[in-house]
Amino acid sequence: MSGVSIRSVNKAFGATRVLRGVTLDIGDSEFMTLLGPSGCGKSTLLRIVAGLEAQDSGSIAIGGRPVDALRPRERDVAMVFQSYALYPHMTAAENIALPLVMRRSRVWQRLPVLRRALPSARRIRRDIAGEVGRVAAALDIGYLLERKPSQLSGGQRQRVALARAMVRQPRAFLMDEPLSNLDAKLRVQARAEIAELHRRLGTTFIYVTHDQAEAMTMSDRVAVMLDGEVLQCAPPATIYDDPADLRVAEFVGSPKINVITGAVGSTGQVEIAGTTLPLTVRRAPATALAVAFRAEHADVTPCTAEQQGALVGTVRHRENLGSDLFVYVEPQPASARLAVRLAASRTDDIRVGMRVAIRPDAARVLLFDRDGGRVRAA
Amino acid sequence: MSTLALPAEAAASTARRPARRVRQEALAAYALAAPAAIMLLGILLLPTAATVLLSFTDWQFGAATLNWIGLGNYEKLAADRVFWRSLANTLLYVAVVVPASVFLGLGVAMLIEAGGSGRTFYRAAYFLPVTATLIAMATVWEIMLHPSVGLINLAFDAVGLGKHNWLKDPALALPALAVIGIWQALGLNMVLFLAGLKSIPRDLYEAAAIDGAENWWDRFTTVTWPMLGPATLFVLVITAIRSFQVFDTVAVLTEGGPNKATDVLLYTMYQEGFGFFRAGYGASITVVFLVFVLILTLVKARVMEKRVHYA
Repeated sequence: MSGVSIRSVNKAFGATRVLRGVTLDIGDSEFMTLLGPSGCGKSTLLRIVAGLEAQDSGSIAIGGRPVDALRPRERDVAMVFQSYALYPHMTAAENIALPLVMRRSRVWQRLPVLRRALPSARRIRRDIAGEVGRVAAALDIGYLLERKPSQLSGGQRQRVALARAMVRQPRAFLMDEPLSNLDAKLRVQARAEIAELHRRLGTTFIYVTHDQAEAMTMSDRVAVMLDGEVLQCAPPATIYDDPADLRVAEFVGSPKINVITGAVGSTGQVEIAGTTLPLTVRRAPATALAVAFRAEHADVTPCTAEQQGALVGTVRHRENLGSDLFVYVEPQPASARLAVRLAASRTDDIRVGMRVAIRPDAARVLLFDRDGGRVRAA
Repeated sequence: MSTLALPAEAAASTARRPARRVRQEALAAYALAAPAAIMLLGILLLPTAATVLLSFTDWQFGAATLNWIGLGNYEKLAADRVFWRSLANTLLYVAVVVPASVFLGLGVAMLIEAGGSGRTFYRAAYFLPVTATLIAMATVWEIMLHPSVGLINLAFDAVGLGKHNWLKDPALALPALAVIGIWQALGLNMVLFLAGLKSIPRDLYEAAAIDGAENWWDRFTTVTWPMLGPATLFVLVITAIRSFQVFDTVAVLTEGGPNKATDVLLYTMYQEGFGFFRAGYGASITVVFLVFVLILTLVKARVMEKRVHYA
């Protein structure tokens, strides 16, 4: 049992409230991602779990045991930093060994001459070298062990940092944007490796990132944070398809989800831009709604006549990403541009400047009230 | 394809550039570098060369003639008890001042860095001696060390350690000067170490805390001390060179006495060259001094490249 339980944690730096009553239960051996834009408090929350920062109120328990009074080493967690925080004067092997050296040997067994002279110190070092070798082999960095961090590439440093975290088999791994210093190609590869590492180790992972692709591909659950609050905590697919809040819907997904202002009609039907969607809600007539749909949840056709249930507009821009082709349409009456993914069969007949009709898939349209809360269709 | 073509294009454009323009650019470059080069030559290299040449002559300050005597001055040096005494005194002074001011500087820097309030005050207070004129400060020290009315003897007497004639006692004079030297060097070393401490990434301390290095000794040995490597080397060499140059306090407080107990290299040189007007002989002492400084500088450059360089 080494789940992490976070109970109404508050934190302020001066007048800035960084965390506002965050409560989160992370299951044993779960991969939990804290996702949010920079400044949302996700890193601070991770640092509070690690014990590097103290919360103003609230409590943290690891494996059912409150750790609020414990110092970082006593919490038995490992952390991978964005900068990797490798000790530049030590070789990769010494870096990886350090957590074990610190825990297993006494101060005098680490002194410059004694650590080579004392039989007990030498025995400890030999055992540790064996474990370092095993961890290094598991991460394919055995051939790098004698190098200093300055002689390693970004990806290699990241693996050394991972190895240093793994070597003492902690109760939980905390990772603070560990991939953000890697180039795009390496990041995709490292993403898969960390996810596989999690499956193999079966340890609790708390992973902080602002990159939704990382959150979506690696996590069991994602906690979307904004302004010091957890807006939603759910599996990646739920976050994407069934967001609880407009801000979650807007943060997750690329291109950004389309949002149009609409209103509830007299019989509860949803009206946008002079057209009616085949949806009804149990809300008072004339209630303002935010109607949102994702780029892939709408169909675009060349516009012939006024079409019921469709938004009409002009194509302003085409964006070909190779696997997908998006068009950006300026709707009438004017509002923010709408992004729509073209079906493979339509890639040729929709061109810039053309008038088109956009028909959102009513089953996938997401409705939100003025406060951003989700409104379910009846 | 286009990226492959780029260097070739660049080379072609250089080749196409008219030769006259290339010459003009070179001329401009020399013109711009000239003032600095002339300064360097005029105030550093030529005087050094002149000193070295002078050390091979018997020139007397103000004399109209001089004779080339080869290594004569150096042979005289090798046999000169006063020179050996002053060299030994200088080395002893350096051996005391360098470690003491480096370690105290580091200690003070770490205390200031760790302390909350009053940082600016302590930083300024410890840095004050660096900004003060040493000649003036030496006079103040003279009063402080005065055998009968000096503050230090009054304090020693009050706690039962007795009165000492600090600057006139052959056993105490050099140590007393060394203490003043430490007092003077401490401030600069502290500031350099403070800068070094500030440049240590906070991540490393946090990683160390999670890895289990939590008490001050573990933190110091895993992060602080190794990360201060470059700063420490710089401080060591700077302090060593400055200690080799000790002169002001000797000239003001002891004039090399009592009985040559505080005679140091530069003071001997000064006396030979400007007291006894034996300029050639003084120059040879200067060359010995330069050799020591040169060795220190080379050691610094060498070790900097090899050991303490972190990317």
